Amino acid sequence: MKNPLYRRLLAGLLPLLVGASACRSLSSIGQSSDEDSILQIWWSEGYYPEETETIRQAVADWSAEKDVEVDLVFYSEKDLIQQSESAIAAGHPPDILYGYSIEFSLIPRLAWSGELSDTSDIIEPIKTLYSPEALESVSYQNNKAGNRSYYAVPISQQTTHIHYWNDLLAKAELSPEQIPTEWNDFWRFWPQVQETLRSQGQKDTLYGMGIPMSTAATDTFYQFEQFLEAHNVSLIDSQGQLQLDDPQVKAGIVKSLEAFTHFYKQNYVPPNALDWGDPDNNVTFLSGLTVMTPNPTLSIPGSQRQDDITYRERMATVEWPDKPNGDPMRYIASTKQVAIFADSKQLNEAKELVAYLVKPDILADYVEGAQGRFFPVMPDLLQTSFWTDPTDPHISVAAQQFKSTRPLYTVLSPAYSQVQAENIWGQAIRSIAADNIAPEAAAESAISEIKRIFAEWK
Amino acid sequence: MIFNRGALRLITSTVGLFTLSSLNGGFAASTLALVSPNPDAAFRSPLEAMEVIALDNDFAVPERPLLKLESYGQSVTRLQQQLTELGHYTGEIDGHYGEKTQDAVIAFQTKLGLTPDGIVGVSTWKTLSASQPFAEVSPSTALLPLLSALAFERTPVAIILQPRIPIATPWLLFLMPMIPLTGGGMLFLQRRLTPTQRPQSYPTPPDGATKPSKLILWVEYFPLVGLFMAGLTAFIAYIYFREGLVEPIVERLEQATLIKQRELAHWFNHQRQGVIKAAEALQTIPATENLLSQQPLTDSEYQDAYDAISNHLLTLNAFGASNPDISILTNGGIVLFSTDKDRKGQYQPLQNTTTYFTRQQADTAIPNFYTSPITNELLITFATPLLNPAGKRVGVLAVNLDLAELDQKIRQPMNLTPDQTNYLGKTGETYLVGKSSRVKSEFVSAEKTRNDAFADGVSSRGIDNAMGGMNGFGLYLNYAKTPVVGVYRWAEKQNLALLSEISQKEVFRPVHQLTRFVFVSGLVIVSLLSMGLKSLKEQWLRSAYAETSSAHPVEAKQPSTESAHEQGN
Repeated sequence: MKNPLYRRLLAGLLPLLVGASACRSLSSIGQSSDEDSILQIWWSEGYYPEETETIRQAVADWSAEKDVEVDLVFYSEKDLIQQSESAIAAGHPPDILYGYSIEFSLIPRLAWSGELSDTSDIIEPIKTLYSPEALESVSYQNNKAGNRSYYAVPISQQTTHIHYWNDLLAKAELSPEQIPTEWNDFWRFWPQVQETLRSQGQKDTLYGMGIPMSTAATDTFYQFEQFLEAHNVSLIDSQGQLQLDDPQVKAGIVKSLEAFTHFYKQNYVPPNALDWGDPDNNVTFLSGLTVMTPNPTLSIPGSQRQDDITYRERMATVEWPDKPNGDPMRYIASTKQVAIFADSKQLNEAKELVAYLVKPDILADYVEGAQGRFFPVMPDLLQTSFWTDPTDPHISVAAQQFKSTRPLYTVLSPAYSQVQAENIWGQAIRSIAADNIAPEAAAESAISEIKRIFAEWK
Repeated sequence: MIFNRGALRLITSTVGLFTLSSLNGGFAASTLALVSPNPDAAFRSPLEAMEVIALDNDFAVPERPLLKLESYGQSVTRLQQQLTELGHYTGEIDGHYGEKTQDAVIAFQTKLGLTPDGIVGVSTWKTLSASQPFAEVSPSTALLPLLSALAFERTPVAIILQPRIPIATPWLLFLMPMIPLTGGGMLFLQRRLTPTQRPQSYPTPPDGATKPSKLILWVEYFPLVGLFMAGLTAFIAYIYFREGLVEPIVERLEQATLIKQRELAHWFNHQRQGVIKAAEALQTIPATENLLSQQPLTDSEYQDAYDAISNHLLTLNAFGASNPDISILTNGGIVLFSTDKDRKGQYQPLQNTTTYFTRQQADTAIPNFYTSPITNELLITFATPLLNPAGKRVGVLAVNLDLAELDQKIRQPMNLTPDQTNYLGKTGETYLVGKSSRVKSEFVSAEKTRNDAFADGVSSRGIDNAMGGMNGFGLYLNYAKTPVVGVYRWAEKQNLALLSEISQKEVFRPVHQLTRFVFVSGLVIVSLLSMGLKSLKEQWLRSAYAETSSAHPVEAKQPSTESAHEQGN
């Protein structure tokens, strides 16, 4: 045993023996290559069958005309995000992707990492048809290629609207004219309606406001950022730099968090708003369980478009109140966009299809099929009676709102998409509402998270 | 001294080897897994080494050839034996694939939901091998004789090794070789630090006398080295045999998952057909027409319509044993009729939350699992248009599927064997998980309590991988942090994750038992040998002393005292 060779042999044999028994040969999941010849399109399912059907028909028409086999799969928005993330991670994304919330979180990141196809060739021929804001929203920095270009194609746009039940207001013996336009008065108005209605014997399942407090809804941060905008808080400057160390910005964040969560803490928001997903404020409002709700699209009136009484009489849409300093509100607008993956095996066909879908007449059908849920991004399309009807109680209000908008922060900095993907504001809001965290502490935590994300962004 | 240092180096190099090899390489996973006292780390690590496999990629196995009518040979004999054991074959075991064998194969295939073609391919072989009663699962055919030999009997190992006393946990197995190592280390250190007080371990042989053989020095360290070797052997045996147990269990879990996945697809198809059947029946009756007419109904008119629709649904029985909530909605999604009366007047989105399909799209619609913001229930809602004779949509039929029934079907233990033993043992379970929101996965279950325990949703490596669209197996901590052997599948068309898991405690029970047996046997042998060697050593010392004292009676006196002193220690 003095011979070191023995020891080395023994030392070498032991792990071999054990290792051989411990290891197993494994293979990873394979994907069928047959799918390469089929154009894969993942699309977020509409809120109404008409919306889904319009796109299904357009894709089918194109497929028949070009003789290209397509596989159009509709996912609910939450599943679309999950499926897309999984597919991207596995290296098998579809060729074309469209969702209602992918510009919040997914597209800026994919463009940054060079995973999306440059869509300039689709946009250039029709560039003059788009509004400048829409084009700005699909201009992304590609860190891999080191350039800035169009990496998605605009479809439509959204901003946040406030809806209420006229008939519930009437029950509380109030009229629409009495809805204040001053910021603080406006937000005090709805709790009063709740109190009045409940005192009249309405069930305690009726709440004054339907505002999400959850991490599951993108609506949470969308509405909250509108609150930040109301308080003139700019998180990012025009150069894409974070402004979170500015004491005024910090104070504005705390104030906005306090204002936003106050309604929940005072029991003017349904308790399960802590877990709401994006459609849930719609469902609660349309089931008559909240008097008002802000919503980042016109999906709520859109769903009742076929019921004239509900659409035109029972339900109403109102502009947001003025900012606390008295200035008129500026709205955060987001451009819905379709993206094509750079690694698409059928890049030409994918581009052809997207170019087909954004032909003004096809796009007009799609956007109108969505019952006015989203607004067109081509000013010419806004000239039809669908959008210009002054008697439409919802679209006429929304049209006013779209006159004063600003884009999402992701246009200024793609890193902000991660802030939205992680729903940092949703986390802060939920922690205040559910866990009684002080707004100051929640703000500090959110600020440090945002700083971390920006520092890590590569 | 030279020997002492050498022995210690050997021991430390072996220990070092474990530590070093733990840092990289295939051995690392299993070693770390077993030595870590942290159960989480313990059972995650092996998974790194045995991650995802392609369950759909069937592979050719030489001893499982394709068998069909008129095949001959040992494989047919084995097939007949297995079919006999499972109660499907009563004919002669002759190695000839005749009609009787074919009938038995078809019966077996039909029972397990395989294509009943009478041809034994990879799927049928796999199913056959996985269809033994759970208690007889053995590590593998190759290991069986060895294990049986160790158990001194040629009887199925799992039966011999039924536990009678609590099972050793993996970290205790690590402690086994550590005890003698620590003892040896301390003894060595004590001697190195206090060299002057160290007693002479043997008499200094006088000049000219016979020098003691260095082999005798082993005697002193033999119990420690022996203990270490016994511990190490138990340790290696544990890893080796444990690995052997995983494959048959995974095969069995895969099979269970496959069967449940078929049931799942079948259940959803049945629901789709039910929805369409109900819609087609309801859209033709006057009560539906009245309900969907733009004219408001009086209370009694509404009650009449309600009763007529309810009765019609009852007679139709479109959903069989399922008991879903059925509603009729306006084109705007407002509930006009529902078997759950509380839902009247509520809003049910037509799409995105609800899984809406026309008759033509029924097969491609992907079910959406969600939480109702009204009732906080977990739901999957199927919907299809109600059409007037002109084919125009006048309303929508929405059906909240009976997830309680689905959950019960998936969780129901499988008694596939003649003795009705649960196919997945005592702790085996199969369950469904769905993405109920962007941030939460939850059990597909109508039982609120099942999800209530997991406020942030359920999560495990298996669940997360399956939700990420992967199929595979592994050893991991389940949603309740229990170590399990699990198989997970992403049921793409149903948009749900399906998992089958068995607790590792149950799976590895035979190995724990065997390991303890190996260790205890080693301990007994080492003890006996130690005693024998000790008496040999004393015998040698006595004879050496006798030799020395007869030659040099005065000088030999001192060492003898020291030797006695040592024995007193």
